[in-house]
Amino acid sequence: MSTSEKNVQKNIIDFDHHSPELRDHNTEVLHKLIYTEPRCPMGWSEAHGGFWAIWGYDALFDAVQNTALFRSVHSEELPKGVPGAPYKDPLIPIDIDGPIQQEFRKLSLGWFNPGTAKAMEPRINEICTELIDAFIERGECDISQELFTALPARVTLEMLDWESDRWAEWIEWVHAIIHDSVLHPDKAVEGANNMYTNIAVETAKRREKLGDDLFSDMMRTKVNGEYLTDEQIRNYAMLVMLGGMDTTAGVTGNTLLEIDKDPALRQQLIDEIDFIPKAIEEFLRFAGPQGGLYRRVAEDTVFHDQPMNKDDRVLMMYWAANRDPNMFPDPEKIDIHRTNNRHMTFGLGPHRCLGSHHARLMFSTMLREIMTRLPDFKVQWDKLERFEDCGSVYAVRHMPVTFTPGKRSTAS
Amino acid sequence: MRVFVDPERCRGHALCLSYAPDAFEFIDLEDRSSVRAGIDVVALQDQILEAARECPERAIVVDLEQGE
Repeated sequence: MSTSEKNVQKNIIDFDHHSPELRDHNTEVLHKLIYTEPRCPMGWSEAHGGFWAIWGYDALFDAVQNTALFRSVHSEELPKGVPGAPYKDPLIPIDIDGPIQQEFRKLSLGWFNPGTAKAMEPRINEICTELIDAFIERGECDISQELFTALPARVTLEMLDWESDRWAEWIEWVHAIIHDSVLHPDKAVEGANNMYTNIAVETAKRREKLGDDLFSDMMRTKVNGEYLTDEQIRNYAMLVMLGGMDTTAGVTGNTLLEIDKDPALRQQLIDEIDFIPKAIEEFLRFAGPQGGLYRRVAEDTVFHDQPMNKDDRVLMMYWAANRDPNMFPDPEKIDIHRTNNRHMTFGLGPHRCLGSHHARLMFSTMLREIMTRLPDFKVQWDKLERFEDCGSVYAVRHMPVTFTPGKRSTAS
Repeated sequence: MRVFVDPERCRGHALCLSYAPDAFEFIDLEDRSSVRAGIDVVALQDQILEAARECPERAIVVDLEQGE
């Protein structure tokens, strides 16, 4: 149906996902989208040259499944993001659609399936113990930098078999790309260039001898009969870094803040420590960090009663859909035993987060160890620092906490 | 009772393996779940229904009326 066949009016919204209001008052801003009457699952914002935001669960469910209409591919002329990202190269496979996207995914499934994640559990436990040991006797730490930012970064680098003790350098570049693209594009470009340079070094090293690691598989596997070019290898590795290093930290930080605000919730997690692997689903729903991923409309259409035009940009607001009262009764209540918890935090459809099994395991491991070894942690709210822009990922950069000092669990 | 995982809908979230580990298995190279062969679906009904309820892609189809 074309726009002219049905007289539909755009739901115009006053919304900018890169604004400090969303960062500082995210619940209020999301509620304004969700609860403004007449309720609508999506709307058109004039910010940044205009874009659609979809926040209703059912509409977003339909959109993520329809990759023919909501396209992930982008080009120099039609760049990704709102506004367009300052670095142009498509990430593999997230910025690809169709059968070839699934072929590129297959390349790394050996590393990202649930069984491989499970096999990494001992190593994830080991890194987690080592990181907590380093601060447990002090009674204070920046739990972001010293635990939940460090662990996913190290695990990601170990999967690629790059030097994992350089995680702090890599994470700076990753953070610059994810969090500075709009407000400080020069920093994002610098971060991307640093990553390109270092990935090129790793590629040259690995050419001499392939190993048993994810990066080697990118270099030795043919997709549709062809080896990946150096540029494709780089763009695949970029995605693994960008996806692997930041979001798991984001949800862990957001979750610790909710626990700090709610003594009953804290006690419940201590009492039901063995339930944490399932309890994380509720934190993934409520405290998920993914502010939004982008799509582009393939043709003029009417979607959920809204007139969309070819090439319109779309912000897929998973974290808002996760609070849709039509889907999640009493959505603002954190209930670790919630049922029908079909949250969208890892996306849905063909682009479901490749690293979701690892993310769940790392998040669950860190939460269990925190609630076991420093269950009385107190957040120093006056020293809390969020990333300035939460348009892509709503996350904490620094989170100083205090707690009753404990003993190291391994010899130093 | 009959149960199957719709291969067109399943996107490999693998939550069914956590809610009903005796009923579902993962096919690594196809990035999706399927029902284990030879299971007693009636005996596993509760966990299968829980897995179906939590599946974010709504890929688990359960027909309580149908026989094997």
